[in-house]
Amino acid sequence: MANSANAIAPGGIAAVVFLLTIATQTLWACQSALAAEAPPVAPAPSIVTGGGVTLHSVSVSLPRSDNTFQGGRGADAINNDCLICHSAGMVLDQATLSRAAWQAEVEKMRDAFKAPFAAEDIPAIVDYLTNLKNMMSQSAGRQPDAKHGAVIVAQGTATGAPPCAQCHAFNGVSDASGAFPRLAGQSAFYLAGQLRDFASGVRASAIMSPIAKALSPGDVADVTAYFAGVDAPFLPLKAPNAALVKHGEELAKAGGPEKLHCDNCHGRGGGGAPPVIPYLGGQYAHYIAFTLQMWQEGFRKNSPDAMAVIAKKLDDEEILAVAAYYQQMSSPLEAAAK
Amino acid sequence: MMQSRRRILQHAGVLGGMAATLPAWADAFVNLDLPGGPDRRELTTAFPQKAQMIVQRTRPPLLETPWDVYDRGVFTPNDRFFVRWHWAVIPEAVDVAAFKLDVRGHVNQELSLSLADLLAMPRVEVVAVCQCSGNSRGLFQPRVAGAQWQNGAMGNARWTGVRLRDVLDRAGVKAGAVAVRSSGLDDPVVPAAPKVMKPLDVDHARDGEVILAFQMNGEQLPLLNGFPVRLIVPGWYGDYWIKMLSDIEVLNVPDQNYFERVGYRVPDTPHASVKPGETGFKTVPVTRMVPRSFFTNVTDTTTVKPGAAVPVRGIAFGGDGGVARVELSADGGQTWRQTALGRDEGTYSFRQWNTQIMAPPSGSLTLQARCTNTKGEVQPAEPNWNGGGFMRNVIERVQLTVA
Repeated sequence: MANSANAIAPGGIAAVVFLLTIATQTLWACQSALAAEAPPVAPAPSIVTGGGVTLHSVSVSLPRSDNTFQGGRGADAINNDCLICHSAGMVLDQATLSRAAWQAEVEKMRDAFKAPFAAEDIPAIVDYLTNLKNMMSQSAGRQPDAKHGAVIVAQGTATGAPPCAQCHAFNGVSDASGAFPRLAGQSAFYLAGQLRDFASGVRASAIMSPIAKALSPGDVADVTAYFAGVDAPFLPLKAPNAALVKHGEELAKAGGPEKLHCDNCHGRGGGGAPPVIPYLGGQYAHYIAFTLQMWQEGFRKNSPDAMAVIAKKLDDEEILAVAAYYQQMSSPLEAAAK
Repeated sequence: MMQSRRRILQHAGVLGGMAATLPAWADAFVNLDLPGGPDRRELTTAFPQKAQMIVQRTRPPLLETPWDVYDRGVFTPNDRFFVRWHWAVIPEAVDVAAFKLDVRGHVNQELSLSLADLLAMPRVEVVAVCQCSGNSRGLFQPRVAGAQWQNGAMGNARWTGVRLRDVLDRAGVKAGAVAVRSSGLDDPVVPAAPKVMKPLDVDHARDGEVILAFQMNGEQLPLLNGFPVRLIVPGWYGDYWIKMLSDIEVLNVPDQNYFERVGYRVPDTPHASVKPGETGFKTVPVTRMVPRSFFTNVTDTTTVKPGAAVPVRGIAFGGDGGVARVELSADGGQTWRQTALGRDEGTYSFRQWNTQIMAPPSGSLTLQARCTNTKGEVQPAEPNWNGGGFMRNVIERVQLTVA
C-alpha cells in the first residue's frame, strides 16, 4: 500500500505506462481511438527549470477509505447521501453533539454545500448522527465470508438463487455482450445496496429481483465481498467509435452545458469512489447506456436526486458517448493513475 | 502496484467503521486526549509524499502532524506537514510544463503565467507558520462540530517564491481595485457547491510580504501541501494560503464568496470569544493569527524524579508579530520567569524556547507557558470559545508526575 500510494512518477512516465496498457489491451481490436490519436513517441518526463530551481511533474494516487456508517438500513440515508463527497472518518470522530447541532450541520451540507440529497432524507440523517455511537456499535458481529460468497457464485443457493456465474462469470467479468455488468472489483457496499434495492423493487429488474429476494442478508454480504475482492482482467473488446469516445470524454471530464462532470463523483477516468460510487472505467458500454435509460425512465430510483436528474439531462447520443468512453478506459485503477 | 491498492480497500471495507481491529493501511493508533473523546486516530504512511501522519479524514484528506515532530526543531519537514482540503476533487497529477496561473479581473493586462515565468521573476523567501484557523478545535469545551484537531494542524517552513505584488504589478492593477481573490485547482464534487477562494485587501496583497511559493524547505511542495504553487500569507491563518494556486482575480467590489461572507468567520469580540449559546454578535473573517506557545519535550504523562533538574522546552510563535518572550510559571500563573529563546528565523516563524526547572520533592509539577509577541499581545489565561472552534490560543499547561 505504502509503495503504491507513495509512488510518485513524473506525469510523462505515467502517461507512457497508460498508453502502453491501452495498446496492449487493444491489440486484438487493431487500435483504439486513444492509441490512434496519441503521438508515436511519448513526451519526456516534464520539468521546468529557472534560476537554479527545477520543478518536476507529479502524479500520485490518493488513498481511499471505504469505511461506512454501520447500523443496517438506518444507515442507508447517511451512507448514500454523505459519502459521495467525503469519507466517514471525520464524522465518526465528532464529539457527542446535540440534535440541533447536527441539524445545523446537515442543513449546511445541503443548503450551502449543495449536497445532492432530498430534504426528506434530513430527519433520517440527523437521527442517525444524534445516536451516532449507538448506531455504530450495532455493526454486525459477523464478518463477510468471501469464500462462502464464491460458493454461491459458483453453485447458487438452496433457497433458489441460481449461480451468479451463469451471467456474471465466476470472476465477475460477465461477457462481451455487455448485457450484464462487470462486477469484479466493484465496492461491496455498492453491490449489496443494489441487491437490497432489487429485492425491494426500488431498482426494477425482472431478472435480478427474484434472485435478490432469494439471498439472505448474510448471502448478500458474502457474495458482494467475493466480487469486490476479485482482481479480474478486462475483456478485449471491439474498437469503439473514436468520435463518440472523444465526445464522451468531454462530457465525463468537463460536462455539457449544465456541467455534469461524471468524473467528479465517479473518479478520474471513472475509477470509482468507494464505497458509495461505483467505478465506470472498463464497465460495458451497453450496460452503462442501458442503466442510464433506466434512470431516465424511473425504473431505477435508488439515488433519486442525483443520477435520475443527471440522466434526464443526457440525450441518446450523449448516453452512447459516455458509455463508449468509459468502456474503453479498460482499467479503472490504471485510469486513476493517468 | 495497482493491485495492492485495491486489496487494501477490501481490507478496509471489511474492518471498517469503529472495528477495534487495525485497518490494513493503518500503522498504529494515537490518542489525542480530547475532552470527552472520541480521541483515537489512525497513524498512516499511506498518503503520497508523506511519512507517518495522523488521519483525521481520508477524503478529502485531513492529516495532522504527530506531536513529537515539533520537538525536533522549528522547521516542520515537508513529509510531516499537516494537510487540510475542503473538497474531494483534487488533481492527482500536475504537469509542470502545462500548468498556468491566471491573473485577471480589474487589471490592465490579463496574464496566464507558466511556472517558467514565475521562476524567472525576482525571488524572495520567508519563514512562516501555516496554521489552520481550527487548529486545536478538539480541545474546545463545550465541543463544537468540525475537524477534531488536537494541536497538530500547524507547521513552519521556509517558503521560496515570488511576491504577489510583483505578479500584480505585471498585470497592472487598475484604480478602484479593492481585493485580490485567490483560488486553486481543487473543486467540489458537486459543481453547484462553492469553490474555495479567499480574498486579501488590495493593500495587503501588495505589501510585499505575501508570496507565491514554489518551494518549501528548499524542495518543491508535496502535492497535498499545494504543489506546484501556494499562496503564503505570513501571520494569517491557513485558509488564506490557497493551495495549487491557479487563479488570481482582482476585484473592484468586496468579495461575496461563501468562504468569506459565511464560512471562516468569528465573533468580533476580544479573543473571538462568546458564551456558548450567545447570539446577536457581529462577525468578521478569521484573519490574523494570535500568539501561542507549546511544550514539546514534556507531557501530562511525563514522570520526573524528586528534586531533579528538569529541562523543559517547546516552540512558540507570535501570530502576526514576532516572539518577544516566552515565560514559564510553576505556581499556577502567579509568577512567571523568562525562558531562553532559540535562533530567530524571522517574525513569522516558530521559535524554540527552553529553560530548566527543579522538581519538587513529591506530588506533581504543573507548568504553564506563555508567549508575548512583539506587538505586546499575550496569550489569555482562559480559553476562548466560539461555535466554529477557531483561534484557540489559551496558555498551555502540563502536569508532570514527580516520583
